[in-house]
Amino acid sequence: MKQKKKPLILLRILINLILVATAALLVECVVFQFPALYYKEKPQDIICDGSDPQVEIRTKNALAKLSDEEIRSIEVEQSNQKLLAEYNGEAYEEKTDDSLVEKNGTLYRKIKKTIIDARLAQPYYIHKLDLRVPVTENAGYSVELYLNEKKTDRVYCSIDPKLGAGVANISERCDRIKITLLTNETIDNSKIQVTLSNRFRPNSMRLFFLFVLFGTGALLYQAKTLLRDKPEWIFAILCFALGSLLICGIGTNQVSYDEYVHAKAAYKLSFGTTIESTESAIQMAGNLLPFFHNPEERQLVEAYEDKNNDYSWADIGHQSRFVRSETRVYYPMAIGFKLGRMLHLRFADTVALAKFGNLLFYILVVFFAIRLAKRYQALVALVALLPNSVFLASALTYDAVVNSFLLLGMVLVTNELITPEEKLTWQNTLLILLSFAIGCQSKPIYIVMVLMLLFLGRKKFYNRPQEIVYKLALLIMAGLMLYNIFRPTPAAGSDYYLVGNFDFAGDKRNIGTSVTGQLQYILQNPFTYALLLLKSMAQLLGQYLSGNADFFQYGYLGTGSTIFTWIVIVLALWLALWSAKDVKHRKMPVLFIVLTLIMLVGTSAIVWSSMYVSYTTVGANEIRGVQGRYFIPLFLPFVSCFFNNRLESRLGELARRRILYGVMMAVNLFMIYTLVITVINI
Amino acid sequence: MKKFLNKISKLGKPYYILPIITLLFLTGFIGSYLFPNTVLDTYVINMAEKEGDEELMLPLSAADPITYEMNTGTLAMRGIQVGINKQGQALLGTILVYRVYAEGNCVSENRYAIGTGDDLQYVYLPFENQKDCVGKLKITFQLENEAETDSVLPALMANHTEVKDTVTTPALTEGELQQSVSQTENVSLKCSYIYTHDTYPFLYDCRLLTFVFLAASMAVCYPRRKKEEQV
Repeated sequence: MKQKKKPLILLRILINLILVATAALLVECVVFQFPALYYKEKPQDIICDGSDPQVEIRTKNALAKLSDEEIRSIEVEQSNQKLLAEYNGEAYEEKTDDSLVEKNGTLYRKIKKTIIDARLAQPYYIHKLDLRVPVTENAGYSVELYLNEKKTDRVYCSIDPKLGAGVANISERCDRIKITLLTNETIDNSKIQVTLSNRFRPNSMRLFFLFVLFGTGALLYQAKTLLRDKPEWIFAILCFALGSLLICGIGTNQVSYDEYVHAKAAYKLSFGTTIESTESAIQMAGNLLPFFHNPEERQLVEAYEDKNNDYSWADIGHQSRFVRSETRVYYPMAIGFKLGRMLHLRFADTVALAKFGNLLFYILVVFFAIRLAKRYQALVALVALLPNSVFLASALTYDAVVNSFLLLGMVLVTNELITPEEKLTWQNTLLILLSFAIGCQSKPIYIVMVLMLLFLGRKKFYNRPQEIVYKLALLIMAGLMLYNIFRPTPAAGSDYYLVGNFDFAGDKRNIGTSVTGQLQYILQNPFTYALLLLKSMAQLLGQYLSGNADFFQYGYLGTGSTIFTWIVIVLALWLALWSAKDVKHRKMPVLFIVLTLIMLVGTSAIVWSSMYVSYTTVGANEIRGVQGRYFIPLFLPFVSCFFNNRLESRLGELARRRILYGVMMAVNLFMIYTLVITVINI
Repeated sequence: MKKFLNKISKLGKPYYILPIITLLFLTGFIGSYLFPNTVLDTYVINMAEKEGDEELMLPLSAADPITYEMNTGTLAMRGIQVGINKQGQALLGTILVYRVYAEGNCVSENRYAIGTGDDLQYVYLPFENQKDCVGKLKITFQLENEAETDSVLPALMANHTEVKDTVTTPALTEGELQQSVSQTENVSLKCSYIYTHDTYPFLYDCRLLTFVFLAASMAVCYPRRKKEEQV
């Protein structure tokens, strides 16, 4: 019977895939490519060498105000130079940048302004404006559009000197354009190339997006058995689709939290003792790769990366053959880098493969977490599909390993807490402790979460000595992980002396950090710090509720709407409080609710304090660097406090899971469309 | 995963296997602590020129040594890495002698055949008696012989970067400073210091897994479990 059914299912899947792909293609061609089909215009060049009387061109000197980010970057650089001089015992000499001018207390940069005023022979629908100019420093331009002498729009675009080009998305009809080019140097006008275009070119990323959108609808409508019996498979399919969209859409743009640091570690790990760093890899590790804003710029960026990915002139470095424990979390990404090199893939494809390594690893671990969850699989899937969780799983960062293993570990701990009568098994114990050991390798402070097991009742054990030795072993294991923060296992490298010196230890992205200095400050002012800690925690809680906390963020791309935050909070509470029809939740004992809440507050306080010690200026009256994503591992224990066996929903498990996956996909797809597709892929 | 672990438990009794694994990790823990892995560690001291500065050469001679004085603090030094400019020659028969003095006593004397290295290569010159090479040290570099076949002398690379706690004195030829360095300018030898460190690559894992498996062993009911209850 089963053998007969299998081909039928495969045929159904195939038909569905064809229908979804056809729908996506139709929408892309008819809706999004309509202007190209309607106007049918050929690309048009604007001649800037002065030979065209319709084009006026003039250059003048000007001042451009420095952004807050630029000012801060100068300050941080000066502070680090000062610290380095102090460490080396040298006198610090402040260097001045001749291109900067201070006027009324504000810093300005001296620039050249080239204005190109072009009248078109007839109105033209400009989809893209491609401006190419050889520059040695960052530049940019703005475009003002006029139709019948009326200004209709203004668009800005940056020019990376590595590309010597900037492509602006216009999508406007006009008969006159005024381009203002801002550069740090004098430009030879005859070398400026401007091309206007409106080509019929289906957008592959938008097509992929539409395919996932329609595919999700089809899957949730048709895959009833899978949804009811194997929700982990639905999670795997949907998470892979979302992750693939993010990986393909973001490309080599470094938009995740400190992505370059993680990229460097993963890239190095993909080699043995000899590291070969190509120019592209060095730029990736230094956060210097050019950024793209549309498919046209993406082509230029990827060509630039390939040109500079030549191993024949790679920089050679060496590293210890023993991998530090906290570096092992980069293995999923390192495998991708290694595979990409073995297959001689393009640089961008190799980076994508490294991200896919992370994504697949995340999906695999969460797959088991959902499968092992006892009657609360939907909640585990909800946490795993939070926009920030999916984003981190699709980026170059170790957070995918941290979040997935801590989720698995907390599922197993929650299972033990809600079944106080069942005895502990060695399999569960091993899985819990290994999950926490792996999940906490790079962020050991989360190990305090496993201490919930210390409060397991006597009924979980066969006898008293067993209970004592078990809890003692657990306590020592957690203690050893915390001890490793303060006394890490020595490793080779010329940073040995600096790392061992707590006076200079501290995050160098911020001014005035010092681990020793900050600890002394806390000990001298315990009440002031306690107040600051409580105030900061309360503020973040407020941000969670108002939708500003970044568990809804796609890194530096931006965040979703506040309404989404509330939809997901309500959904999580509904799933935790009400069980599905005829499937009763297991109750969380009151004692464990109280203990879980204490654990949550304690872990949060430790996270805040660690950032105050390592990332914040000594004695500052704020705690810097704490992000909403640090608390994602605490979501499941928090909602587990609402588990009860009294409230029962009218909806069955199938309907609840359709709602869950439907809502989470809608939120993620909306964010992908607004933050990834429209911003850098159109 | 659970099925996998269940299959393992069918292969052998966890009652015996888990304590054995625990003991193995405990042995690894103690072994890792007692037998550390000693590795060389490079401290870059002066390898690049500041803006406007140029690299210069300190020619070596058999008559007078180049002297480099420095302070290692509390760390015992294992060797030094210096750049040797052979000026395009093979220098097959030329031997560099380098001596380390601590408190006026020679604590290390070694030789390096300059012909074995590439031109402009930064070569690692190891010391003897590492434990004595600590604190204020004076290192001298000179040629043992000047090979007759080679027309030019090799040189150590240097620059004008000021390096804290170091003094570089070029060699004298017939009572005069070598021609490429003027008498008034301050020069610093381009070099890296080589130290050794003890590392414990398996210590973290072994000590952690000892307690993970100890806890897991307890879940199969240790101690005092009745025989009939054992898994």
